[in-house]
Amino acid sequence: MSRTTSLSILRARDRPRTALLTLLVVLCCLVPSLGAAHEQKTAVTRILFNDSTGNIEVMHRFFIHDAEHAAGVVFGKAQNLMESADSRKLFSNYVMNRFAIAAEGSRGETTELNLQYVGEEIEGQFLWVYQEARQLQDVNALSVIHVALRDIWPDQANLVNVEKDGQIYSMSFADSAESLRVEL
Amino acid sequence: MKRIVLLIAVISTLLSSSVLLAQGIQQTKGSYQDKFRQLDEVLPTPNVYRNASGQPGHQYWQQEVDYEIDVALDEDAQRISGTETIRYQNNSPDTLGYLWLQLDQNRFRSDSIGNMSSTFTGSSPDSGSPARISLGQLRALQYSEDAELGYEINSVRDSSGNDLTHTIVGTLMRIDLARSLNSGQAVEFEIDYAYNIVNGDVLRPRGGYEYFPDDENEGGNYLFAISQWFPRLVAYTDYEGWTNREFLGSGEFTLEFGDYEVSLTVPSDHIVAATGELQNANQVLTREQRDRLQEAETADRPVFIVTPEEALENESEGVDDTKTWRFAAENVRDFAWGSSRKFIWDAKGHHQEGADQELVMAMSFYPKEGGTLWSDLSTEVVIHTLEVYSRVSFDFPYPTAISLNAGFVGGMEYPMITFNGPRTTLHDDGSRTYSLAEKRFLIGVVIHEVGHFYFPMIVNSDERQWTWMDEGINSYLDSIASREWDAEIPWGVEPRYIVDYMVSQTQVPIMTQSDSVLRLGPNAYSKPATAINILRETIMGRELFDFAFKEYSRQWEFKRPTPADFFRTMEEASGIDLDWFWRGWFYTTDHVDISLNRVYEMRMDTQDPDIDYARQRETEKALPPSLYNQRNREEGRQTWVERNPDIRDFYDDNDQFTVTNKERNAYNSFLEGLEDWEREVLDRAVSEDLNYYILELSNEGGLVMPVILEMEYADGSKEEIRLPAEIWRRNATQVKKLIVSENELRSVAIDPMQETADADIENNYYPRRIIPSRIESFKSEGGGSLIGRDVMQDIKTQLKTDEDDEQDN
Repeated sequence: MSRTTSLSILRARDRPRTALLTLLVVLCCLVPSLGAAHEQKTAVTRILFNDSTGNIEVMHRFFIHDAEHAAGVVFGKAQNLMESADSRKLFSNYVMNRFAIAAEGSRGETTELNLQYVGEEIEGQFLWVYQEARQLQDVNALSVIHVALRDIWPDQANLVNVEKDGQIYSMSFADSAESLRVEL
Repeated sequence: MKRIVLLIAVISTLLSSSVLLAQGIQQTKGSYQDKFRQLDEVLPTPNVYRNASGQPGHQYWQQEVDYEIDVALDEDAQRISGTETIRYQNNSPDTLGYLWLQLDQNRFRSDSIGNMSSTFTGSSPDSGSPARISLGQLRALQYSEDAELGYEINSVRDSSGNDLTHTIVGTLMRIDLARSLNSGQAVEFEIDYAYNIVNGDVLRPRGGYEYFPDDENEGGNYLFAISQWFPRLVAYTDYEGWTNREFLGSGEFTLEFGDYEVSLTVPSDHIVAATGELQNANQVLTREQRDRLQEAETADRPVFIVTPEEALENESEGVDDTKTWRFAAENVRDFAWGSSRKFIWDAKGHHQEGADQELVMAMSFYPKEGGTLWSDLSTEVVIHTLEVYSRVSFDFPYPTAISLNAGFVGGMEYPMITFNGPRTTLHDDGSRTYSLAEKRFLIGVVIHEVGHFYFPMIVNSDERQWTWMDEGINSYLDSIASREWDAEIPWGVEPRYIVDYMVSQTQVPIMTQSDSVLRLGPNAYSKPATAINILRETIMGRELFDFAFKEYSRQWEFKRPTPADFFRTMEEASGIDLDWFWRGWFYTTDHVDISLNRVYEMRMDTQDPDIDYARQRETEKALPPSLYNQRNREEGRQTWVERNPDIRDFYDDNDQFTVTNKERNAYNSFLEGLEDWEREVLDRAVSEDLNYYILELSNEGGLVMPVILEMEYADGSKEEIRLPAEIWRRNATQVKKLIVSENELRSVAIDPMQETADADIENNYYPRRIIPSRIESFKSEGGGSLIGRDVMQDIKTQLKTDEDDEQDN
């Protein structure tokens, strides 16, 4: 996937209310929030090459409380993720619009995975969002874009673990990392 | 030419061997790794200040710093100015020529190391397409440009009024003493200072102000949550000297204990909450408020000292005059406060029978934006936390325990006072509600921050050096308190939740200095909390753990522990070698993944040929018949032998399992040759005829852990066998274990309760089970669990009747 794809994802229809400006040049460092003694602002995404189903499964895990605040910011109105299935669906949509995977084959050709919405569910203090796509035959590397919550809080850190053939490949979306590539 | 090559080779050998020496003792042959190697070469050498048992040593010392602070809060300018008089008592054996102070407000200067070294967190501009920056980030940039932040140090004078030389180094200031301060001596000096309070909504600091422009009061109102607000002495310690490491914004701090007398001059309509006890209630509170406070001491439920209605009236207009609130706090390591005309204030006495501090006033201060979320829960949660933490550590030694609502702080702790963020949501009709997630967050954050009153505000560990020592231990304790608040709430503290982090490639060991930690949340909070939880529930057991943990807490109450003191105390008090545990969980990035690869089933040979040969014949018979012969039979093909049954000889009636007297004689002479005890052992084994199983285990994750086996037998019964972690001590990658059982084994599961954070569940079963992925389970459940239904909304649904159906049709 070329980087242009990333922009098409970021320009998705439900643009957050904290409108994103485009800058030609960014000269300055930003002052990230100092964070506090409690909030974690971390999320985990598992990308599993599931050989028994032949799918690539994507499982995003967010703290409900973080996700609820983010959803409130994005959709301009307080959301109740634990009580409302509609709120959860809205949040899932937001996540899916800020996450993409491109698979790279052995000859260097890239294909953006057609990730389908599977659903979401609550487990403990976490909200899981699920997506999946058919596995491709020949995958040598993955490029992943993950901006979920990071377009709202710069100090949000998202861990992505790719699990393929019993191996784990990690990507850490922190600081300015927006698109990361991992060879499998 | 050859010589030169040789010389180079020699030099490089020398270099590499010096590297080896620098790393201490090393295994230099083979790949053997001693995961149980004792930590003595890693931990600091015990000394007179902290001993080998993990206790304060017989010459333990710490400095004492007392403060008298007198400041004024300028609400309109959001500015603090005043003076502090500091008395520094040198209890160390050392002579000090200078003192270091923390100037945390300098962190917000635009030229601070923290700011200059912060990295761009927007999207990458190098892709040829425009980079992104949010309005919030831009606002922060503009604010940093416009606001004059950081301390203004106007003067530093000794007690005679003479100027002391002082040098500001980023967030630190060195004061050169006119005369060296000997061991046992004290010095007093005064600092005149001011600073502009940081806008909390913009920079989201630990302390600052929040602005409410829409309040009825013309010009709006402010809520001040003030912390890190006076130059504070850097801790001088036996393990690091001055802990004068620049404040970069992440790793918090450690401080000295001392007594505080603080005068806070604020607008006269403000309510002030602070560390310590109010000294002049008669001057700043109404008689009614004082009566209510007294009533609250013995009340069953929190009593309003300032009611929501009074607060609403109070915030509707401002004043021009001021009042001075005076507070005193003894033996605290810091002081923080909050001030606003918006505060609702409730209180309830918490009684600790038999404790030095029998009455603790639990109090909450919050604006109307906190609403019933706060009035219903906050103070009660404070008391619950004190009850649980005191039970596992020590009685709460201070007179007050406060939860204050500042919207810009997620949660932050100071002695006796915490700042917590959760708020209600305002609706168009003017009502305020809160979601279930917000309620749980409030309970969780208040427990966590109040828990910090104990760790690190009393057990005074150094968060800038070892964040996990207070955050990890406190997260472990807050999980106890939260589950004791309501066990039905899924708090998300199960060991399995840390697995994704522990298998990831982008992590550092827990024992990493705070500013270098990658992903502070799981590193310093969840992973150590999970580790300590596993230590209690799985490794040590509750009784031994709780005793040892209480020892640690009491030994280091009002003192300054280091990781080694914690590690040593937990071992000393429990009698359990835990070096392997600390090494694996705190000093490496290994994860837990134990695999059960094979189970062999065996039966004891009796040596009696009449028994053994018959068994062998059975075994042979149990083998599947020849497929070739079977197909021949299916085709109706008869063998020659079958067609000629009349022709048989000796070998048709006997096989290799036929027992003759030769074997019987050999058996008898074998029995005769046995010692009595040998014969008894054999007889018993033969008569019991037990099942022998060898389990072949491998350690795929690297972290050595106990092996918890759930054996399921043919008769349906189950048995749990817990093999200690020491099973891995001679081979940390592969071991075999013999299990003897009366029952016939059906299957084995490792860690069936998922208590060890084992990463790969599939290899925990023998025979293997197919473990569906989360998505597969989700689909098979028809789209997820029942948690998360909008029951509050759905319960309003009318039951449909037949009539309705007819109408629908």
